[in-house]
Amino acid sequence: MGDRGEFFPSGPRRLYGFLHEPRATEAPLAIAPAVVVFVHPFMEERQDAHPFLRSLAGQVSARGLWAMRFDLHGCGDSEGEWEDSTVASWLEDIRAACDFARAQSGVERVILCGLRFGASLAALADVGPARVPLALIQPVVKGVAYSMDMLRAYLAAEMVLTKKAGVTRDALVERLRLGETVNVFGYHLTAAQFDGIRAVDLMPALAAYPARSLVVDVVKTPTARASNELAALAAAMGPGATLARAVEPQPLYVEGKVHLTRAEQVELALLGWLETLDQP
Amino acid sequence: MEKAVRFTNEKGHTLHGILHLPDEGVATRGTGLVWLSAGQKVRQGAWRMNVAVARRLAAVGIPTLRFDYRGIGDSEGEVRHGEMVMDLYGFIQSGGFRGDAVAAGQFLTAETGVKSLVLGGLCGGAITGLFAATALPNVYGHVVVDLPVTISSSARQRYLENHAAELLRSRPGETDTVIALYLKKLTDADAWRRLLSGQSDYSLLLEAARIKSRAQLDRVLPRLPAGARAGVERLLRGVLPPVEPEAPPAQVDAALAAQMQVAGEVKNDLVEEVFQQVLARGQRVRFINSSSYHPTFMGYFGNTALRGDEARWRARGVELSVVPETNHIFSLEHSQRALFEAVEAMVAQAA
Repeated sequence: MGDRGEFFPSGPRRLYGFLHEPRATEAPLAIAPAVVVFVHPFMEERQDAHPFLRSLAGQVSARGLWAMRFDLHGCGDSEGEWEDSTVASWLEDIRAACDFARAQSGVERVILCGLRFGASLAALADVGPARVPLALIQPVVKGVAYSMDMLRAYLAAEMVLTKKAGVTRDALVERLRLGETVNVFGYHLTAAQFDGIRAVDLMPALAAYPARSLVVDVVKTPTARASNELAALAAAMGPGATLARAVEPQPLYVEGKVHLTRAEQVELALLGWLETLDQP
Repeated sequence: MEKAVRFTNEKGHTLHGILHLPDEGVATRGTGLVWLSAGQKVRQGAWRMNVAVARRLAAVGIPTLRFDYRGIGDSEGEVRHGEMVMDLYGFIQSGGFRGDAVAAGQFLTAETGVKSLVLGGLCGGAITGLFAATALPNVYGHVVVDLPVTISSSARQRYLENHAAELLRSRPGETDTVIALYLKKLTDADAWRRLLSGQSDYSLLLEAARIKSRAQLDRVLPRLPAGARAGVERLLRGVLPPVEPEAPPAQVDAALAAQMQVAGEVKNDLVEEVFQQVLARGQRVRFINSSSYHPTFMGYFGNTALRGDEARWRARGVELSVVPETNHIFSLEHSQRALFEAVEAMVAQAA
């Protein structure tokens, strides 16, 4: 049938997914058949990371595995509105996507790969029957810091437009508490989302992770300082975790000057790790 | 009802998109909307603007198609349209995705049986719609949001960066920026490393300093006696040649012109040409501008292409509105509402 986009159910919702069938264009990975399910980052990061995730999925399928990209509820092409989604509903969506990927590919083994907050959700999703191999690219380790970044983005946008800061972060939190939403570049962040995101902390959640995992620290230059936070996360995950470093000249999820369509170092890190999955 | 669809462009690439259909079915020989992506962003647009537009229109009975251009998003085709993002912008601004938009209009017409089409989009989507309209026989009108009226070229920018003398002699106002950038590098360890290893090219700084000195001299020289002035001029001719600034474009505010020059933007003459072709076909055009972009639109297009009184333009089916206090992506609530209303109004006219 070839690569295809289609809708699939997640409870009462319909989500959009794009399946990449395995091809034999490159030397196949020496591992048992698997389907790699990609979880996108959030808000505008999803838009700007799209070429990179598409390319990554294409590389995986070129090496003989199935790959699937999909949109969480209220994101991308999936049904629903952003403000009606919660962290809990997104976790259910990841499970539904894995079920769909298994059914379409006929392959039971799932590997989850996510970028930024998509990586954090992939890490927390229960896609059964046991914990699956995880590839986390620049995961958001602490939801508290990430939620504050979102509010900072609101304030920055306001300053650009009005040339002054009208409110403080505390005032924005207060608005959320009163049931209002905060417009972060057109996405209406709700209190439920804000609280759900703040509750995410990968360090305790992934301690002694029982399956193989990869944590990719993406840096801009070969001499850039490594992320202590990601190193600590990989260490906490235990002996099954691999920490990789990828040097990419531009961020993977922010529009830059160069028209980037792939991230070769990240691809190498992911494909190299996949190759080792069935090794003891 | 939202349906994943695919269709083929004139090059044979499969383009992927989403067709939004009214729940009650499509009116026989009604109107359809092709809502075009800006280009760099995939078919959902910033803040899922394109999804929101399509859902609102489908809810009032208008089938709406949004899709990814070749090589963008999920669609097939060459994925690089130049080395720099600005090259992609330039490609779009010169009609690079015209064929894809034409294929989309043909697909929507065939798939739903609509009689007329409205084309619209933000920025690159807006101009792509205008380019496509001349190849589609059933276009009623356009919703043109923040139409790009200049053309971006990283090639031009790179040329100027590599020809420091030409850049600064034509734009002496940029010397301060250049010097400030180099001063900033004084605290950058990597910049020092590059300097010491001979990897840095400081010709731009040298040229900036020469231009700056020349400007200082030009202020002092008139105060000297004529004979002395001629002597100094002779002595300095080889070291500090005179500066002849390039003329700012007519109709454009000087500060804006300087800003656009720094960004490597020049007027896109194709815009007026394609606009005239659209009008000649009797198609209606509704411009909607963000307050942040409006001065550029007027300076490089509106002041010349839309000169004359508003009533005359309205009679020809051209309207222009400006949304106050908003950004280029229309992400604020009041601008989202204004955008939705503009699209709905155009489609209502067509229907």
